[in-house]
Amino acid sequence: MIGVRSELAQAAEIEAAYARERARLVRLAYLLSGSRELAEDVVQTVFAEVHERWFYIDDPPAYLRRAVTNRVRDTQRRQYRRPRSLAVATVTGDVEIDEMWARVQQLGPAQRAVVVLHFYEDLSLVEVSRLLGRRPATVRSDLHRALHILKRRLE
Amino acid sequence: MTDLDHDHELADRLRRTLTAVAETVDSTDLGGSPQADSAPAGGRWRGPAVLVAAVTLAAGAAATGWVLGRASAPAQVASARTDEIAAPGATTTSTVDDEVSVAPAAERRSRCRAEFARAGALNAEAGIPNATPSGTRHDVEFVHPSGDTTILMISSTSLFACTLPDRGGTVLDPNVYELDLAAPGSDDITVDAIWWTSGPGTTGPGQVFVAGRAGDGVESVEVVLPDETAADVDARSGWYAVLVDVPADVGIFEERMHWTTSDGAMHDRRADLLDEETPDEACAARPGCVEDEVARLLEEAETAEYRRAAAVLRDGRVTDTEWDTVRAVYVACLRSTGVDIRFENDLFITSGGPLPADGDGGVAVAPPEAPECDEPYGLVAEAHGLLDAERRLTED
Repeated sequence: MIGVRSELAQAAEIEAAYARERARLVRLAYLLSGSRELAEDVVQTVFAEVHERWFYIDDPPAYLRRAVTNRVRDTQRRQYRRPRSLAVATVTGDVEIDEMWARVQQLGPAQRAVVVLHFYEDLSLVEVSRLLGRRPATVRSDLHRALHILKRRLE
Repeated sequence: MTDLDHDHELADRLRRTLTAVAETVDSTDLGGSPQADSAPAGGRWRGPAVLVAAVTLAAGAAATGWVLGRASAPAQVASARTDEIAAPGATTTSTVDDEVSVAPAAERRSRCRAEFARAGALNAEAGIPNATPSGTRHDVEFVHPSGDTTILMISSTSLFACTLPDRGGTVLDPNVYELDLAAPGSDDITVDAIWWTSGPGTTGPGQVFVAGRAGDGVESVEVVLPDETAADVDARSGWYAVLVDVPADVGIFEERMHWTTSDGAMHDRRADLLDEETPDEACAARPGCVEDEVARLLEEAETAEYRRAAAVLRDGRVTDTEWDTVRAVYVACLRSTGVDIRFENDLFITSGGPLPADGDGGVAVAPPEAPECDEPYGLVAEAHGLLDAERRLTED
């Protein structure tokens, strides 16, 4: 009976987390990948996999963010040589924003992840380095390089 | 806030951009609850049965990569197979439809053709000249041993690859790639598409597929694997496609391509790749070129991490190719910071002379002051450690 109750409690918690976190996670995955379909699939997969370890997770939002980020990166590693379009697509209708988004999409996966996590998720570089499992110096270097590239391309 | 944020204008613009773009993911699609229901995908919890399908698709997508352009680094391959590939110019018929419940072949072909047209239109929109493929087109369809179906659409100016994972049901999830409109030189080849199902994180052996176009005068193309297994195909029709089996946990990051021209000469793509990995003088003279090159090489350093992991997993050895690559990345990075450095006779040599060898007489990798090169330095040091261990093992 206890087991049943635990499972019910877990299901309710996951349902609540799904309702609460899904939109944020899909948006994060979209910014990291540039693909809505991939973003949706990644988040769905992460939630499907989280059942078994749910009660061992101390900080579900942080765990889910890390899981989504890593899964997007796994996908990108297998596709890193796909040529990136130089075209500026209309996404928001605001020319300035669309142009910047096009340039962000041209960044390599590592630099892009750092930019998104730092400027969108508002994480410090130390937090970004922990999340990505990379040295702080490397993350800092990635960000520096990404900003340099963006600035030059926008000029 | 870091000192890197001091360019407030750029930082603010980035924040506004990312927020605005994220908000285009319609919040009305992103509600839902994890209750099983029969609503179609689009933000709703898809219910257990559909969820399984979604996971399978995602796993398939994760294990499948299509890549255009150059590829890198060899992997160990147990055996080679080309029997699944149709002869160039031929059209094969999928045998999957009879065995597995997937979308009809005609529907799959139609979907790929639509994607083909869409890619052409996007290129045209982006202002790429001659975006519309021209000339005679060959459509070739074949089935991988895994059941995935690949359709190649080849014209005189482009090769378009579309693969449809065989996951059952009627869901079509083609991996489609942009057209590469650069025609190969007369005695040259292009590598337009690479796809693999092996690599870190996979649990079983997989396949690697390489396809591209061949210029006039190219008779055959051969993929040579690290264990010297070779898979070769005829390329006289102007294109080639090679499929090989690879063991689990081994990624394919560099193809070693040989091709033979009608005069009997053998060409080696790997040599071309290595040549390209060091910024040349012309690049150094162009503003921003070295930075771009270094960014690209550093991006590829992630690949080197994989190679190293694969090497360790395999047998604790590092191959010459891994060593060549991480070294080239390190040298390029240091050069971008103004350090005059080259690699010669197993030594890194700066304007002040060779960097000191380590205590064991191995290759010195002590870095000049360049924190931004920490990562490639780490790769070099680790590769060197493996080489050194291997050397000692051999001496023992």
